[in-house]
Amino acid sequence: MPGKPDDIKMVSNAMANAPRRKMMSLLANGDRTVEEIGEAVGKSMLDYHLKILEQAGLLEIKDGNASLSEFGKNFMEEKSEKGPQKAADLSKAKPVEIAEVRQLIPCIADSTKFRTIANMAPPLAGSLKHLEPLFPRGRYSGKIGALMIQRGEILITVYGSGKVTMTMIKDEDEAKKILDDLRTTINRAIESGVTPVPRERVKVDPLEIRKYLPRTDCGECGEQSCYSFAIRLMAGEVSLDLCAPLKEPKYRQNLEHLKVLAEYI
Amino acid sequence: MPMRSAFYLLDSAPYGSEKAFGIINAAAVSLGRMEVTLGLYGDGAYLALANQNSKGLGVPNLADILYVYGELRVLAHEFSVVKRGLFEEELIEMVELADEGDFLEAIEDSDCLILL
Repeated sequence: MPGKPDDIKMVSNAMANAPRRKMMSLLANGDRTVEEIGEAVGKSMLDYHLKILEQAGLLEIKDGNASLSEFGKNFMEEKSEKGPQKAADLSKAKPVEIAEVRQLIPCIADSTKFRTIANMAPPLAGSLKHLEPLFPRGRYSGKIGALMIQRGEILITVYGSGKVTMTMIKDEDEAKKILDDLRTTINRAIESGVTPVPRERVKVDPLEIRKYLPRTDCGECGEQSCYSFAIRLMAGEVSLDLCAPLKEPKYRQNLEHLKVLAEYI
Repeated sequence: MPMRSAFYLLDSAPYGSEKAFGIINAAAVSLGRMEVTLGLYGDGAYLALANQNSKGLGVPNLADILYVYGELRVLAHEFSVVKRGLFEEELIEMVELADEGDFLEAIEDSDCLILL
């Protein structure tokens, strides 16, 4: 069963491929024959992808039948963001320190602001997911193993590997202050030993979405108005890509806000 | 018709020339204007490594820059990764591994292909 760092890398890299993720999702709903997997996911490179998943310890193949291994089942359950919350465990987490702010790169949305990266040590890895409730506008992404936190117009992304990135930062002092607040909040939870209670997700409504849309009711997306586009976006029936005016430079900041809001839908 | 998507292809090692730095910057300034994909092929696959150390080279850490532009879609050609023994290494979290077909499809689906 994977547990050593090299094995974890194999699992992580095995899952960094869309066809293999589809195979895992399919098998999470029950065992399948190799042929059935090929029909559902595509036969191109089928044997190769199955071999990679098998080598990573995620599935087992016997007599032409594929099934998730025990580790694979646990992995998929852990990855599931909609599944029942397991008892959160911060017992293995150690207090963190933030190392230097390494890059200050101009923001795309506003060239007077910066993007920056820092390093948090030790890395929080899997414990990161359990910290989500500490932040009112925080969301854990299982796909990239990162906790995204919206703080005003600043987006902070904390990766399980310890990297911390921030957008829309005024200057290095502001970056340091935010990182210090982040460290304090996380360490307080770790030191108290009390695991944050999973909270209800932040609710986003169509009016809030509409606020950041161009509000020109141009109809280029095929909808009658920006409001109806917002409703369909909330329903998951359309994506932000359909809004052509949002790609104009003057809406760049709106687009960044909308991308964050979309994470809460 | 305005260009809606671009595929930036890097096929040379990240620190051997200024190509990688140049292509990342070009891709980053295109963000928000169009759909952008950075494709890593051949020796360009080394850019997918999470733990890069550019100290002493006098150039920025390119992994850091990819992290900072987290919304950039980064696609690495999986065989290039495997061939260079990088599959067992820690890769940048947002890097997506694509087999031959998916990598080519991503190129074909883009309005233009940009190489340095």
